[in-house]
Amino acid sequence: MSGRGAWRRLVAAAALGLAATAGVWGSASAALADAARPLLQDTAGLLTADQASTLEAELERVSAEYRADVVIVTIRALDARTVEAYADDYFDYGPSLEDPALPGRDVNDGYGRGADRSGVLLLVSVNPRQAHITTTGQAIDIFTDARQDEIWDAIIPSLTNDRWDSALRRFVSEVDQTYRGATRFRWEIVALAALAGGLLGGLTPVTIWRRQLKSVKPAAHARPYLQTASLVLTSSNDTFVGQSTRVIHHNESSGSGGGGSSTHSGSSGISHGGSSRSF
Amino acid sequence: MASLLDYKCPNCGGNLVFDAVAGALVCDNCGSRYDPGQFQAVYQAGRPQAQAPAGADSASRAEGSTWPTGFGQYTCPSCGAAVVAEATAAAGSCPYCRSPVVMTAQVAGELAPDLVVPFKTTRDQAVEALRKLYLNKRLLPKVFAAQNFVDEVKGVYVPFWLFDFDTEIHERYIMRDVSRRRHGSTEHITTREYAAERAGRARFMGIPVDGSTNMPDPIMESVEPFDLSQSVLFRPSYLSGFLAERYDVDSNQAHARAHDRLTKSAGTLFRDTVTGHQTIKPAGSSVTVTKMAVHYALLPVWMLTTIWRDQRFTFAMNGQTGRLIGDLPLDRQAYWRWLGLLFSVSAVVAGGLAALAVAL
Repeated sequence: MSGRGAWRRLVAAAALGLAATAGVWGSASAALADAARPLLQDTAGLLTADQASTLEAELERVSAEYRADVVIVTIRALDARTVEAYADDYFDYGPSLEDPALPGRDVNDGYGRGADRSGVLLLVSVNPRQAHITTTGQAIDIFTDARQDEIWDAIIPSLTNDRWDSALRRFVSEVDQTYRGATRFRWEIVALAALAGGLLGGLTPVTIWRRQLKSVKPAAHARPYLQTASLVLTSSNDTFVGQSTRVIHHNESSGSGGGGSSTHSGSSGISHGGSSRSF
Repeated sequence: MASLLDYKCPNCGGNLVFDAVAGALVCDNCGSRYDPGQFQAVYQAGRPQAQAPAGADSASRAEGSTWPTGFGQYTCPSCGAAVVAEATAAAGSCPYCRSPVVMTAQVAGELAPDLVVPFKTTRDQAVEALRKLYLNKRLLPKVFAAQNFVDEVKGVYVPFWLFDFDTEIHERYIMRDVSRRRHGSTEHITTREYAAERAGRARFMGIPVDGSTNMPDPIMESVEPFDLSQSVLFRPSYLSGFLAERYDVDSNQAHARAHDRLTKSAGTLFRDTVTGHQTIKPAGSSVTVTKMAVHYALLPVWMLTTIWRDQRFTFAMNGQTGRLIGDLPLDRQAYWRWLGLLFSVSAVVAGGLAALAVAL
């Protein structure tokens, strides 16, 4: 009787858990589908119309696949801002308000998907010949400093030789590869979590229930028979035995090496990762 | 002829049995009550035909050919039937007329117990306790609890050796303090080690060791502890209406087990007196017995047995405190079913959460 009730409760709890999971998933996907800003902003006019539409389609595809805005912006000239500040502002406030001096700046017009505004933006400036990659949200962790170096190595030669289309297409394909590499282990993590959770949630209760069946065990000691009033300390002696010292030299350079991503905050207060190159 | 006593009511001649609730001998016919301590004298005076225990030991030895390892024979004082009983039995009942019988030769002379802890719980309480043991056990086979209750309930006075030890205890501890100092990029981790020795005296009273080979030792140790402050001087009349055994493991054999438990009790007795260090670890102990005393006692245990699928399950309840123990069978099917279900549910939930964390 009680056993059947417990079964029913368990099944109900499982269904509830599944429903909650599906619900969160659904609302998350809905939130991610609202981006409508063009992902390619070739204001410098470096591409032909054909090249631009092909590149934009690629950007749309990659952005949709990895649920992050992958954006490319080209400009003729840089204003008073650094290439980093320009790129960050462009990502944070969107294409309509390029000049930060203008009133009515709104971060709601900016790029980025999901609550953490995930995305990556490449800014190419023709004068001066500088470029910047800015990363936001989850992309900060995916595009590590080391990974950004590799991307630069792949596209700088083309940029230097004014082969814009080749450079930008290469950028998109590098971003694609980076995301694919970063998301490749996802199902392993899920499987591992499921296994660990299953073992923990499965073995713990049955082990407890199994132990309930055992109550015969030999006595380990005779403590209950100690007359506590009879316990008398007759001698007590503490001695210093010795000491040993270990010396550790800490590495002072706190650089994040190959695994990390360095971050900074733009004028909007949103945290970004990124790096710049001249070409 | 073994010396036997069947306690008869001086009032009406009915059978007198020890009543755990009343703590007295009660006549099953007229309900008269008698104090077990005083009853002996009254009884002996009123019924001169009761045999004196003197010389009974040798008489019974001569009678049972395989005694003491096999069986002994006695004649029921109530109905005169010839009854065969185990050689270690000290009390029981006649299988023909059900009269309670105490074989006084088994509890006299060398075999006389010093103490007895009388039963404080009844047969019904033991059965009820077993019923409760079956409750809320998810992996207990349902049919075990439903069909198979209890085959046999016996109230047994089990012979125990009680050991008192005056001891000198010696304990050692190792203490460590770790301090960290950092100068720039260099960190010094200094570990200071100390040793403490503590010596003192301690008294252990009444460490029980099962003195009957008929009783499984792990079960007997599991129903501990008995409150020996409630023990009384032994009188055979306490045994009336119960089964009783006499010891067949002598105190020298039992001593090893008591000493083993004693040794394992030391080690952290003076732990509280070691203070002021980050980590304190026990590092060995020794126990020296300066004085030892042994008492022979009969302690009350309800033994409940049931047979299920050709396997015998034994439960024991402390007849004084009501503590019931006994291993129950495992429903393997239910075990795997629950494990499978709980594993699946937990895996789905954990996997779902992990998938969310990975995706967002």
